Amino acid sequence: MKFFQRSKTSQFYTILLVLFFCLFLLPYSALAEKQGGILKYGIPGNTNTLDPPNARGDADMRICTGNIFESLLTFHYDNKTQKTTLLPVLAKKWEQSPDGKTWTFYLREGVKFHDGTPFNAEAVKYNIDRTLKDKPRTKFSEFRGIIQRVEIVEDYTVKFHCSKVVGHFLHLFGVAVSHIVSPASVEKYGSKVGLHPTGTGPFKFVKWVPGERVELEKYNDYWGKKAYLDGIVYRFVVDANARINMLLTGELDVAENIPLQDFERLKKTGAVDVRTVKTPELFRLFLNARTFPTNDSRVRQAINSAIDRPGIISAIFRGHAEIAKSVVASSSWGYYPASENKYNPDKAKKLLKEAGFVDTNKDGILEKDGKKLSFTILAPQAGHYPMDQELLLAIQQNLREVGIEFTIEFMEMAAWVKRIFLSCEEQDVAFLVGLSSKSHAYYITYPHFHSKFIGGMNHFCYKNDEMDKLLEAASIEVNPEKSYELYKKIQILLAKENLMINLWTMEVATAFSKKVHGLEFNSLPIHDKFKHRGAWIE
Amino acid sequence: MIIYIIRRCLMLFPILIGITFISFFILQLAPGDAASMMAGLDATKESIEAIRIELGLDRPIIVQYGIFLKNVLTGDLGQSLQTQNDVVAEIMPRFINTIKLAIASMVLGFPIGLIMGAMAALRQNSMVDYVMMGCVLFGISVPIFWSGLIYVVIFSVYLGWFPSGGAEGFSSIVLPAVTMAGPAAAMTARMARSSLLEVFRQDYIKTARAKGLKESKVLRSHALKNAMIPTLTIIGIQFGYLLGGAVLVETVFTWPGLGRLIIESISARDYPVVQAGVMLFAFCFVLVNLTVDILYVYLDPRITYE
Amino acid sequence: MNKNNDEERQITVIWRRLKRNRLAVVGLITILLIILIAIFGSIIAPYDPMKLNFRSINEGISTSHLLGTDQVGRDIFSRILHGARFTLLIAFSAVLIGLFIGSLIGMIGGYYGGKVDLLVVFLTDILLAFPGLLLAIAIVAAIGAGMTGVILASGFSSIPQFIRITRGVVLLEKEKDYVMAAHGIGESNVAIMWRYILPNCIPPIVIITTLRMAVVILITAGLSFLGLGVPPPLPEWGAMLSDGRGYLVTAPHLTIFPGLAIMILVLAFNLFGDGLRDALDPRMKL
Repeated sequence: MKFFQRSKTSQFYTILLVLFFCLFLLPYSALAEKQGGILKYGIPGNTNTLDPPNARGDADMRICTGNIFESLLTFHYDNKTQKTTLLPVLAKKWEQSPDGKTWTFYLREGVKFHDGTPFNAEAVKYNIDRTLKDKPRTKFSEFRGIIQRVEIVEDYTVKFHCSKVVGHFLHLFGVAVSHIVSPASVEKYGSKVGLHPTGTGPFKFVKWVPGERVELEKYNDYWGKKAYLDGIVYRFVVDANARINMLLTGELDVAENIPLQDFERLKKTGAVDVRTVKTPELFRLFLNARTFPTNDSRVRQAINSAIDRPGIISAIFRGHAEIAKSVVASSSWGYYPASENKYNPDKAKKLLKEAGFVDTNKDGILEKDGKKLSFTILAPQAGHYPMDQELLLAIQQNLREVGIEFTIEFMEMAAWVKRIFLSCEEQDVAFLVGLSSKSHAYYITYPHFHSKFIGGMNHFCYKNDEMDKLLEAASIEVNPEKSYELYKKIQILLAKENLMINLWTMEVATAFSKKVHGLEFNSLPIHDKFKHRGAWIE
Repeated sequence: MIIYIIRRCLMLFPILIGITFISFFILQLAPGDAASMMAGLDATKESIEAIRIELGLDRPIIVQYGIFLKNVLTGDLGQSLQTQNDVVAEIMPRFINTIKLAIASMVLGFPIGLIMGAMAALRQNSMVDYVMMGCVLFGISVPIFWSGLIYVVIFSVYLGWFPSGGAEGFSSIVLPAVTMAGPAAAMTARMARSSLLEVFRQDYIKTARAKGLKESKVLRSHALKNAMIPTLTIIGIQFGYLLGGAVLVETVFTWPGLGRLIIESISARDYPVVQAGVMLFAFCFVLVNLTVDILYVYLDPRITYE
Repeated sequence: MNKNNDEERQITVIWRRLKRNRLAVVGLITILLIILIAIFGSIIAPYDPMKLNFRSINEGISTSHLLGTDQVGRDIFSRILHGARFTLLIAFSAVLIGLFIGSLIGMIGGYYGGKVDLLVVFLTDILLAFPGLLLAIAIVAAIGAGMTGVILASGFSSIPQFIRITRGVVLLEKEKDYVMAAHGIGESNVAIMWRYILPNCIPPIVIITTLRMAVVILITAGLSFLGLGVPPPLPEWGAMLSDGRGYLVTAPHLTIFPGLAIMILVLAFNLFGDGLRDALDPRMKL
């Protein structure tokens, strides 16, 4: 029976059914990703280079990684399951040799760099070798001291021969250094390759106006899902107010690093949305274990218990921070909440009393052997860390309530860096530092607490044989479960020492026009948060 | 007079060398260095040291200064420690932006200042005079970053007439230029008023008036010309003020100028950029002043210099 | 004997001329008022300027807080009162540094002439070649931010003007008869400088000092604004302005009141300094 010969009733019902399905599908079609458009993205800071192994600041990394360049793999922290997984990118899969020292990577085929040259094992070897070379030295190389040589097995198979077993080896590939640059471009441009970034990512480089902006355009031969956007313009706007204004006037579609106090008024406009993402960077206080008064671990513990974390988070950060329960951030692999870090001023007072501190002259500040329980906290330039002034003042008040006094000293950044790296004998008592545990617990534990780094990153002059053993064992442990157990023990031990008082996570806020969709807000890795391959504009 | 000019030009060279000296050494006194800044908190001592060697920061200071001086004379200002780009390439576009801002401010401020000063001088001690001078005093008393911020709030955030930052298009230079023009106009007005008053007191003006010449002719042919001379000298001072104030205005309006670059580079201990930038500012200032001084002598034959 | 009478009459003449200039008087009164506030501020202030109160942040003008509260709940009025002390102290110390070092150098150069003078002029020109704020910024970077750094930086940038003015006066005076006479009698150079030349330097130095206070206050505020000045949480007015910058739209009173305070103080010094200049010698080109 032909359609038009059916009875009028069945026709009617059929049409109704079709209409119903159309209505059902309508919202989806309205939300279908639209091709085209150029995303105007405002970031604070400035790029210094677009060459991944030399990329330093936030700005460099945001633009390079995830957009222009890619690495062999990446990791992804899922906020809901709170798990970190490794995802293949330029490498399809990987295996580790039985002795743990050799890794074989099977690379993706059919990938081309933006300049047309092919991506293959040679390109990978070229890149890794580049970071291992002494001259010209790339600024950073996570691979030094780990990878001894790179072997090309086949066109698309590469073997990394390491000098030792490294438990967190795969995590080395999430950082900027490991992003693959076109060897032809390095050959062609030499030291100026930072001005001509050529990678494999979904966006290719168009223009860089120093101090103003970087322009990217869609790479049509991208191996994976191609981007929706035609291009991205990253504009460097240092002043937060200016960024917000430009967002409101439409000069920007997205504005990064919005200060807390502006959330409300942005949301009120109705045209803009604000999202925050926690980072693996924690606010911490570094305490010196050799100098009075923090040489007594009870004093350090007292300081820890005297800080009203929930109070400060709600009053200063308006709830946009998470209490840190360990040296390791909650979004890093290997996190274990080793210490509740509860606010307990009574416990603090008790500890100080045990340690022999008494308020002899009734001025509110405790003393011992004639010395006041007083020290100075050094912090970098005011405004460097969000709300740093406010939080230090609040902590100052907290500590005063239990009889501890400290003065706050803000220093110029360069001077402050110098003071932190002084040897532990000359060093000051306390610092406010924002430090990230990156993607793996290794980064915040081994280099800072192993005794062989005293004088370097072990700012605390901390020497503990048990800790050293645990750290070494964890660094070579390949089995994830066993590794986790070791890092758990390390975090519990560190929680007792209180050399680093871990406060809370730093969150980064992004404000964007409601017309922009598909922005990724990943905690980890922080620079991958700025992947815009899935973004589109209405 | 020619001798004077030649002497001043000759004095220029030691001054310029002195400028390079101060530019070089002043930042070296600061604690911390570019290597540790670049390496960041996560660096090992070895990597910081390696960066330091690569940047040539491990050589003795005198040697570094010597190399620096030699390079300056050949026009090579080195590479930025942060970006590895040629310093000249980094600085030039920013310098041009600052000059654009300075010129815009002077073009706006100077005529307004002249008019205000003239009006005040002509009607001395009247209401007009007081109002004008009131504005002038406000103009030089207001912190320039404060007035800039207020302009941003009013004209950019609330009214939306102008962008609040950046250097895209013509409209972005308006607010910064107006901010800087304020003090510039005030200084000009003040100088113009006092030099006009000074000229009015002169005998030849009294003679001209007694002769019955029209007031406007008196003003135009005699007074103005002579009053211009000291007012010209204010341009030199203004220029220096503008270059210094540029730092603040560039910060408020995120204007991509040299002032802001210098501050950021000081923070990062990017010595080559700071040295070159500061030197450039100083050179400009010295040249502008020299030109103004020579013009001064040229225009006013009454002035003799020992 | 006669000389003392001359001086006295001079001072009364100057004072009378000054009084006639109403604006200058207003300036002087304002300055004195602010000095009083600086001294007694801690008694007048209703709140502790450092006390945080997270329950009342960014509040506007109210009966309990005359000028509102800032981003951590501190009373702005109290902070401004306390800030007067810092602002004046820093400015005064800086100008004094400039005064002493600059006048000394200027006097030596002007008096001894020759190569010494050439060196002095050379140094002055070099220092003057750097835009004021930029030099201050570089010095702060070298010495370190904080009260000392700011005072030294502002002080150094004030030196050239004092050198110039002192040198100018010395050059004029040293050719005069009475100086020649003193030479003839055999008075030592130092005595001549101290007894004859120095008193003549005082009027212009006073004027420059007053006017320079205005400039230094602005430089200090500028340094604080750039984050290179007095460290928080001290209630220096420029620092308060800088703090309030992030709240420009949400709580503009954080920046308006410190800005007004700075402006009033700077205006007062400018008015008084101008008045002084007019009173001392209306024709003096300073």
